[in-house]
Amino acid sequence: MFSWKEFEKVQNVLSQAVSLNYRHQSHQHHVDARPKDFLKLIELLKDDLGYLTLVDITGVQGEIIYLFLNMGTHQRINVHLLYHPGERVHSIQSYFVHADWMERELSERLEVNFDRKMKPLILTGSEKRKPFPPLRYNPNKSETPYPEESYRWAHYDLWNSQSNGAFEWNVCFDPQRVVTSEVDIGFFHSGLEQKYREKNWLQVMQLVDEIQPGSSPTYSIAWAKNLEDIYRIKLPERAQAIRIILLELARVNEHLTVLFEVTKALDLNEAVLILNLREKILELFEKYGGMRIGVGFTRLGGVREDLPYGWIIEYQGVSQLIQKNLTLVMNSLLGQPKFKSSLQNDPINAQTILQWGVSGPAMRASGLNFDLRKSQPFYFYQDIDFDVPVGVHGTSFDRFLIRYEEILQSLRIMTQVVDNLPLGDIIATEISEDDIKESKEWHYSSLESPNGEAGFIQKSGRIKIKTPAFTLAQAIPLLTIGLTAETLKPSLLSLGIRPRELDR
Amino acid sequence: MNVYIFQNPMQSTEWLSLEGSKFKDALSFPWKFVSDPKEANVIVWDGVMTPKLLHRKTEIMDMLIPRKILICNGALEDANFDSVQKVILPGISNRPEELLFALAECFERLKNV
Repeated sequence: MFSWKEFEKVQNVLSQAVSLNYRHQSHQHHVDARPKDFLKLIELLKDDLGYLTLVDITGVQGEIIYLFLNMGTHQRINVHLLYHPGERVHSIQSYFVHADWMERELSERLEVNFDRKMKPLILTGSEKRKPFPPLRYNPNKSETPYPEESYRWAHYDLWNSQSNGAFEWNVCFDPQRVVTSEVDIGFFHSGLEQKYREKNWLQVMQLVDEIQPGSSPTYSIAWAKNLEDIYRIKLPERAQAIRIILLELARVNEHLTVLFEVTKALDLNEAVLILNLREKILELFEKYGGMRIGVGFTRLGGVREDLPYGWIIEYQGVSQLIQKNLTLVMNSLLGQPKFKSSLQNDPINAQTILQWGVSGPAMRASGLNFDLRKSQPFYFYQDIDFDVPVGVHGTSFDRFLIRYEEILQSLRIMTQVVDNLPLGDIIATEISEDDIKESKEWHYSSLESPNGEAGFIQKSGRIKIKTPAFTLAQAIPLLTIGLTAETLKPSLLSLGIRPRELDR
Repeated sequence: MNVYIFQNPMQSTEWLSLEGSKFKDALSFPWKFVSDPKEANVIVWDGVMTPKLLHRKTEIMDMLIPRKILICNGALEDANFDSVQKVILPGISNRPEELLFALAECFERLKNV
């Protein structure tokens, strides 16, 4: 969990080691840098201060902001790189592998002059199907089971079920198992960030759930939390409790969706049983706010509705049903050899997954115990007794088990909240639209969405959506190594990559 | 009737619901989701033509024509699909019942093809 002692330690190092401007805001460090000192600062952060995770990169003309996280001490640092138009900016891809897509996206939008060659990522490119890239190395060199010419490439286009319609994909097999692949995204880029920039920050609240309707109201709560941090709005306790319930319902909904998609891809009869359980969650949403998905439930400083009469009794029945039936379904699945064998990709260790910036169940499957509800608890998560399930091997099977266990933990959280539901208002005192002046400072706040860290980086005139799908999709070449053509689809589905989250 | 869902981010959650016991047998005719557009006679798509999808327009038209019905919502004005039979959903976020009505409409139209 966050500690002020650790915070002050980093503050001392940074104020002494970096001659440039240091400040802190909302429990986060901010440092300004110029291109000439930039790589030295990155080395200091990564090698000496343990900031091993690059969360996101965004910027405006003349300023790029890099968000780093130290998972050990739960500290965040924002590096503001100030550059002149046309000035060469160092790429940090050699320090953080997954900076690749982030830098390409930024370069496309702001025309930043990075010191490496970059292909377009989102908006342009892919006019023609690209030729398959040459294999510059033998990925199985240590095993040498096949001559180089026996590797075969397969192309999965948008209509192919292997890519789940979210991206195009070139996959290299050896010739049975995947050795490498190349993902092409941007086909569903609908310009959400641009659309949000044209609205005021209060209006954006009603729009952000379209990023991932399946896990709504996660994004609108993340957005509201960001604004409430900026304007120091204190939520009534009852509103906090209802938001926790909504977040956990959304988590259960999304996890059940993923479990259904995986079991259906494996053609197992249990799929429909899982979907029937999800239906119960959608009915709970509907009874709460009239919508089967959690769109439009969040308000600045609280929530739209109080829990209606009888909702808690309804929830208790659904909770017991899900616990009982899901355990039966899992026992049935685990008894089938096909189930486990179809979800086995090559093991991925914690260090590798960290290098790729992956968060959420895919990261915890490799053994990393990191969950924002524990490390940076918001509302009153710190007072709730729950566990963070972690895996061992980082396989799709581990991810499946983690999602199952997280459903049970979410039910445990909700049961504690409804048993101790505070009385009082559901919204803070009326906030006028005129009070919401767009901040000129960068502000980042995030929460643990069902598929990983989700949040918003914003300042006046710029909104960047941080989604887990972007880093997950970039790590697909790593996460699919060792799979066969038959097992690609269920493994891919276990990641929970959603097109709007990916392309925004 | 075979239904193929081409990526439809806003509604994919509710299309999945149709496979559960609550809605599965709500229609009086047989239908199923398929994973290959070539097998489908109904395609579901929101119709949003992004800059990168424009390069795939020929492939999309090949997928939609001939003898296919497109279920879509108001976003379709992005693309010129006049030659395609369409069933337009009333809004962006629809309930499963509305999706079932759209399927029933497709079935009626297919009978007249």
